[in-house]
Amino acid sequence: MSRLVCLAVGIYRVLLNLYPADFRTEFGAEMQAVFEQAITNRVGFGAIAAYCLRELRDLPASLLQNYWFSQIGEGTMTTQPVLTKSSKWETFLGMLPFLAFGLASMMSKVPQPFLDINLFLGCYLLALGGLLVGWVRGFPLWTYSYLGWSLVFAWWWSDMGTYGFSFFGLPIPDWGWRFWLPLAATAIIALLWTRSLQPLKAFFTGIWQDWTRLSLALYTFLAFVWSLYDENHHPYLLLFMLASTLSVSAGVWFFLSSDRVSGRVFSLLAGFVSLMIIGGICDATWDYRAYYGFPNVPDPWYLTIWRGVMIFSFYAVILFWPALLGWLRRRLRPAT
Amino acid sequence: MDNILAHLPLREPTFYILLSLSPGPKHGYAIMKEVEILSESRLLLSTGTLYGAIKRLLDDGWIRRVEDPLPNSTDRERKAYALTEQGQRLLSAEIERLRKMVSVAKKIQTAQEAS
Repeated sequence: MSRLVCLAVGIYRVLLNLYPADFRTEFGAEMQAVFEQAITNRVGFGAIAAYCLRELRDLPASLLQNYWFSQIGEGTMTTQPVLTKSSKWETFLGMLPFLAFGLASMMSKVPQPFLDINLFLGCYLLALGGLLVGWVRGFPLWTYSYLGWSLVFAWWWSDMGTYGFSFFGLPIPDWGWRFWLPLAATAIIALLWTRSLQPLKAFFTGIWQDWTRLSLALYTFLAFVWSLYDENHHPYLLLFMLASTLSVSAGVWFFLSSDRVSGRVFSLLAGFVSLMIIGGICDATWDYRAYYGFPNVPDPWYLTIWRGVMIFSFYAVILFWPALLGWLRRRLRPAT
Repeated sequence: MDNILAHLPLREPTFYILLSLSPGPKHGYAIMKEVEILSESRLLLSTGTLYGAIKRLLDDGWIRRVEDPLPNSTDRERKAYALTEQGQRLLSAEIERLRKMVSVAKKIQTAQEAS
């Protein structure tokens, strides 16, 4: 064996230590033998160097795959992910928090006996309850809707002042980090209930195999922003809010009823574009400048279009960045 | 019973590894060489990717470990791999899927050439 081959085999032996211990135990000796055989059968410095470079090039992806799948996605690499449609009941479950938030938003705009905060707290509890049940059941697809809403509420209310509101006699002018506590408590309860990390594993595996799940969770953020109609006093505001709620919920309905990535992407996109159109019509038919006493200087048409494109792009990136996970998965998978 | 069709289509490396085992059991290096030949040197597997795939194929039950059928010149214990019955069915289903695709493509191509 030449010195070059000896050196390459020595380096390869060291690099093998980078693999997960169980993988190394099972295949390490065999891999070394194959490497040795492959390199010995090559003649000349160029051929040996080319082979070693190929091994080095594939090493990071190979390591990542083996670590990832030894921890999370065991047995999921060799075949394409299988997307399944949700049942009618599950589809309704996934849609429910969107309908509840829309209803709470509408009720907050009309005189009624409940405080706005109670309505939205009810939505938060619904989201947490759904998340808990979904967690215990191993994170089925509809759960990502509840996960999204739980995060949206915790984020929203952590920056919310509720002056005059008291909780068990304790005034809470500013919720801050406290609003994350129910979410943390839900996670702890779920862990204690199941006494297993399997649901969490299913959660990460689910996202890795099907990135659209994460997009569904992020869709809640869009629904929140575009269904709230804060500071809007359009005379037909409730109609616009109702239309927005139904549109955004329809997006979820079609998403959960689809077993194709393209179908799901189209559902979320259609829901989002509908929200933009309804919001746009609302803005165009209500003179907010006159209402708030702003100077009546309408924007030029090109600025309106530019703003629309920028807003759409911004939210589209938020909604569909998980597609990068799908791309990464495809990039890693061909190496197997 | 496992629905084979739910696992299709196979990724190219998986397909070639299963195909290389179709005539009979092979050890790691032989699989690597056979994949290179079958893919006309388009698919060159490194040891890391080959054994990553072998591990997952073993986990999924598509292949199994067997005694190495070839004489071993080294004193090292050498393991060989063979298709399981389930793996054979998976490979056949993928070949059938590919055959149908090629058949349709050929029909369209022939029709286009004729017109």
